Amino acid sequence: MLCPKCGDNLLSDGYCNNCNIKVDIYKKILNTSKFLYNQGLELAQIRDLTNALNVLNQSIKYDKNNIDARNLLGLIYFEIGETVQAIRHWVISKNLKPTDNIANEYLNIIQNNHSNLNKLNTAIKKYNQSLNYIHQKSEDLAIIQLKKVVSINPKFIKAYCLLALCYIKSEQKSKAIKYLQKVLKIDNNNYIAKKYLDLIDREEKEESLDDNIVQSETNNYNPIRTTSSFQQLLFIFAGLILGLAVSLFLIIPSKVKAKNNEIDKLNSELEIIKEQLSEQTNLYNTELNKNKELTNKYNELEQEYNYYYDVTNELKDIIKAKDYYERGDLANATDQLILVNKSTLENTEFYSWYNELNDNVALDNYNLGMNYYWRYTRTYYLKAIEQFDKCLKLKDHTDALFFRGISYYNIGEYGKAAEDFNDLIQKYPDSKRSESAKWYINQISSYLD
Amino acid sequence: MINFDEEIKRYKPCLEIDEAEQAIYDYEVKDVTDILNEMIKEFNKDNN
Repeated sequence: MLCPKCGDNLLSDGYCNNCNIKVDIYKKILNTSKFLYNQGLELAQIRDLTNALNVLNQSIKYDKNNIDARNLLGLIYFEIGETVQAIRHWVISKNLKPTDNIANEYLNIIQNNHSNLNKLNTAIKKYNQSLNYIHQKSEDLAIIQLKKVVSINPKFIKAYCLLALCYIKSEQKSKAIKYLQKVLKIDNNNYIAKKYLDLIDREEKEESLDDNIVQSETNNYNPIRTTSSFQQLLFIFAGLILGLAVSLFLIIPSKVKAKNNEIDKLNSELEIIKEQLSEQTNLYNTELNKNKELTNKYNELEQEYNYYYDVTNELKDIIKAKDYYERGDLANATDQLILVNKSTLENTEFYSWYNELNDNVALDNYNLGMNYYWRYTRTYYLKAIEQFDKCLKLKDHTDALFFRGISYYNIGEYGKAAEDFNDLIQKYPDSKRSESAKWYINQISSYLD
Repeated sequence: MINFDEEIKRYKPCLEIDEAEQAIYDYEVKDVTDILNEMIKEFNKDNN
């Protein structure tokens, strides 16, 4: 015969040399475990799950290898929504007896249905979350979470009990009773559910007892009898006065107080709305300012763009003029330079370059004008005038103005000559030509007289 | 009357599925016979 504990051979008197213990003791322990298992099974069959759990836990404490007790324990834990406890016992059971063990079947069912397993896990997480809410004094949120938990796992007893407790706290006893009764349907001896129901019942009885006391006390009061019509009138009048006094001193003040509270509440709400409005206004103003800034920036950039566009256009004309000038085409170079708006280039790095070209072209026009002027014929005076015109369009030139005036004078255009001489005198009063210009003006005046 | 704060202390968080493995490893699988063996060994050690 072998030792049931270590598997070693037993001695003839039933003593195990390895364990140093008589095998009868082991047998008693194993029998106790079996006995407790049978009790647990009976309790589970009548849905007394709380007591079944207690008994089966004791059974495996006597014999950890009691596979039936362990499997049943897992099943009950699963039934009351304690999924991890159930899995734990089934896994241990499977390890103790890998083959021919119903725990394998249970574990396969759970593991193969992933969506169900996820749902159970979600229910557990939400249950833990609702506990956190309660610790943070947010019972309303806890109730919302717990309702979701019980809808996901309708056998989760702990969640039902916690939900009932929250309802009891918020004085919703009828809802609490509803959930506690669901618990008792699953586990008909659940001590927490019974305790809560008992306490609710006692409270309700106390309340109804108070009502009964009030009722019975009022029965001790007899109605007042009146003896004459005058007394009746007196009593009616006294009643009216009393009623008026009660309304003045009790009812109206309380109503006024209630209205004042309402007004205060509305005022505080109004303040909140004003604050929110002010915040929104500030936000709007900030955005408006940002928009203005962006608009200004855009305008600046647009101006800058326009400026550089203009500068580029002027540069194109200058480049064309330079190109004509280098090829010896004075006429076209002059025409291009006349088109240039020098004020655009004034603050740029191109201004000096433009000025140099402009001065050279103006001087060439003046020199050509003087070549024509020295021919002393009407035709050449006219050509000289044309050249002096071009020179003066490009830059101020005292001699060009003076000799244009003389050219006009020599061809008999006294009016235009006088204009040029007057211009010269006004613009360049200290120049060497101004005296000669004055002489010519006198001559023209005497001719016109 | 139910004392809500006292009652809440009895509620402990449930183990989640992810914690099952650790829960199995942490579970002490000892029964009365193991305790008895340990007691006998202790007793024999003291006597020797």
